[in-house]
Amino acid sequence: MLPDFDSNAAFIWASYSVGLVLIGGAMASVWLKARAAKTELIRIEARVRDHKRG
Amino acid sequence: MFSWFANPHRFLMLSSWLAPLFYAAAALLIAWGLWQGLWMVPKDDYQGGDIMRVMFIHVPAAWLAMASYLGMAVMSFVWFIWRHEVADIAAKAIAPLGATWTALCLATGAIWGKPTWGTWWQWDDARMMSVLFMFFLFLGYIALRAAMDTRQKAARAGAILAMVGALNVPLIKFSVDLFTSLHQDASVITTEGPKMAAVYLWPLLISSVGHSLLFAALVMTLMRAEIWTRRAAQSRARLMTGD
Amino acid sequence: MTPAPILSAFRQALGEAWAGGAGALLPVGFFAGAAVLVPLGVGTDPETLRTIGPGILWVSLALSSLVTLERIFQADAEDGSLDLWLQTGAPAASIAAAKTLAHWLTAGLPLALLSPFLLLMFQAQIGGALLENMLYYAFGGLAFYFWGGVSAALAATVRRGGLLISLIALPLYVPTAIFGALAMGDGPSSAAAPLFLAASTLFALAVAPFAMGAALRLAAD
Repeated sequence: MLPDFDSNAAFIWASYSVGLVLIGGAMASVWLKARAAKTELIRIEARVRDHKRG
Repeated sequence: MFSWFANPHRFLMLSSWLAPLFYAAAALLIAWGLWQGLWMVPKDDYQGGDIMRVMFIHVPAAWLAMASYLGMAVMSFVWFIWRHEVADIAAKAIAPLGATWTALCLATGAIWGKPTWGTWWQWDDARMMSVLFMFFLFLGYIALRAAMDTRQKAARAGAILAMVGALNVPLIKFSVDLFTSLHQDASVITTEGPKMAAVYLWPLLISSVGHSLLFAALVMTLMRAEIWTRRAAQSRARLMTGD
Repeated sequence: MTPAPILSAFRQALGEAWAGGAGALLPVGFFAGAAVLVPLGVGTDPETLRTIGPGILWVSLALSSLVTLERIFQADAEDGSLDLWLQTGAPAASIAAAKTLAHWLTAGLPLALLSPFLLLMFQAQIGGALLENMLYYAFGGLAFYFWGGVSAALAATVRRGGLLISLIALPLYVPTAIFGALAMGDGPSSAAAPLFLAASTLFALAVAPFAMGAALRLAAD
């Protein structure tokens, strides 16, 4: 399944693990941030509508 | 052209389908690049054997480190001249992501360096040093924006700094080159010219395009989050004043 | 547009530097203090000290420029003198350049003048090189002050902006530090390095005032 390296396997896996952690972390934080912003906007806009209806 | 994109509403419309498209394309391209890079391509004994497979993450990261700083500087310039809000939102979104890929470039470079040069950090390698200073430029930009108390001030201060930084990047690059040419003896892996066989070039190119698309998609998502946050703040302000 | 506001900014900056009685002694003391800490850390081997001495002074010069610059524009933004200068219609870039020049004269130049004595403490031989190095420190210091001035102007409204100023200025100091250190070495590029040092300082003098001016107008808003 996993590729078999003749040499320096630990270094190769370390590189790609760092990539996974950094890129995965960036993606997770960006997506969480976007979702939180969207939820907050929907909540506020609902309150604005309620307010207008009285 | 800038004015057409400068409308936040139009940006939201455009990015609502462009971002998912980019995510999907990035996933395919990066997966193909990884499969080629880790499984398919033969190891290159001239470049230290299997360790050259790190290239398929290191080179896209290096490309994005450069491209993202340039993108941030261009967006800052556009904002500074034409005051298009979307350009500032873009510059703000690029900074943390650019710093992430720059850090990735440094980390994978260090990991590649250990078995190749026998050291984690090669002070004589001009590219490592230049990328390190780019990383500091990103950190300074993020910290400066965060320290400003209004959005408008953050945009102005950030734009000035990004442009000053962009003017200095060639000088930094040149000085570091001069510094390292003194005692350069490390066998640096080159990605240019006929030394690079086509069998490596394609996976490298595809991985770089994949990373770029992922980067662009993440920038768009972060920009959408910023626009939503600003709208929520406006609505909240209207609620408070009661109209 | 008269040069009066620019002159007054220059004079006020000179006065500021001498305020408190200590005057140029303060930055000089910091510079020397930072430099003499190093042998305590790395040991007293004369050969090592002679090698690293010039570089240590570059680092100390960079640090002391950051420390002196921290408040250069902040005080003006707080007490309103910045608004007054800008209201006179004088270009913000000239005012910023005048202030930065005054600070370099009172805090940067004395450090360069002190450098031969510190280099002797770092086991340098007496000779013409000491005077040459003094010139490099003076000229490189000018670039440090102008790039540091840009970050100080950007952070003028930030409370406790010292760390921020250092973080912003650090990458901008790189070319000067490299060219300066190369000019004092005896490597293959040492002959050209003084010219590069001069060119990068002139570049700083040409670009930094405009960035400072834009940042000051931001701080005055």
